[in-house]
Amino acid sequence: MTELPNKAIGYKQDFSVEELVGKHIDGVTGLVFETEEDYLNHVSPVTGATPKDIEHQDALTDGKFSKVSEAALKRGEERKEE
Amino acid sequence: MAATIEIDEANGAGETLTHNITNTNMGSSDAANLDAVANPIVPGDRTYIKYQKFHVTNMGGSSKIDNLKVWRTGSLGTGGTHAHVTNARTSSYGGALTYATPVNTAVTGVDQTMPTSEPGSANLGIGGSLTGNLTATGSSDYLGHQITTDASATAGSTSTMNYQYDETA
Repeated sequence: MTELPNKAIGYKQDFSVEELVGKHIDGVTGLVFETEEDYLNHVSPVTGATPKDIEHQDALTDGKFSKVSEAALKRGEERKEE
Repeated sequence: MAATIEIDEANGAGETLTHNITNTNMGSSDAANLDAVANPIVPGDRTYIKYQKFHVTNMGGSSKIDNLKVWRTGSLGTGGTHAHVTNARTSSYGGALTYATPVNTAVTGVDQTMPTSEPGSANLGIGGSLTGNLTATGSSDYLGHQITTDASATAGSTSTMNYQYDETA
């Protein structure tokens, strides 16, 4: 049996709709967590990083997320100078 | 380092939150990461409304996230009359959309036409205001959107949703 990541309570398909009320689901893996904090702090079995790490998003988007960030920062700086 | 942001979607009667959705497909079921082929819309029906939000999971040393813009690129398909409606708007913003169990009927306040190019200014709020911002982890207001069809609508349209934010170091 595969061990669940820290704080995960199972996979989405293991729960009924009623049991999922108020829960937090990782959209990539289907892992279910009781709280948002548990979700944010778990290490993804897909990326090896937590959802708080930019490496997590980069791994899921083939590096595109870093470019999204760069563009967002550029827009923010341009508006600051206006 | 930059902020880390994901798009989340809420579903169900009790607001089950799916983090970091992998698609925003719309159809005849209330579910995140929907399989549109398995959940086709009957022509004349609306899709189930989507309740989605920007979620900052880490500010990454940046000071502010704001100026949220959403829009769709690509057509809604051929045959009949379609519309993509939303609560997003650049003026007369109605405040934060309150979550309710998603339905496939009209929702009050979700009656604006989804832009098909980048809006000139923010069209989704934070804390109920288009001039709102996030300076710590947290989420935007809910973006509500759905597709309306008529009896002549044909299946199989694919387009792209854009979710854009500005970040200040």
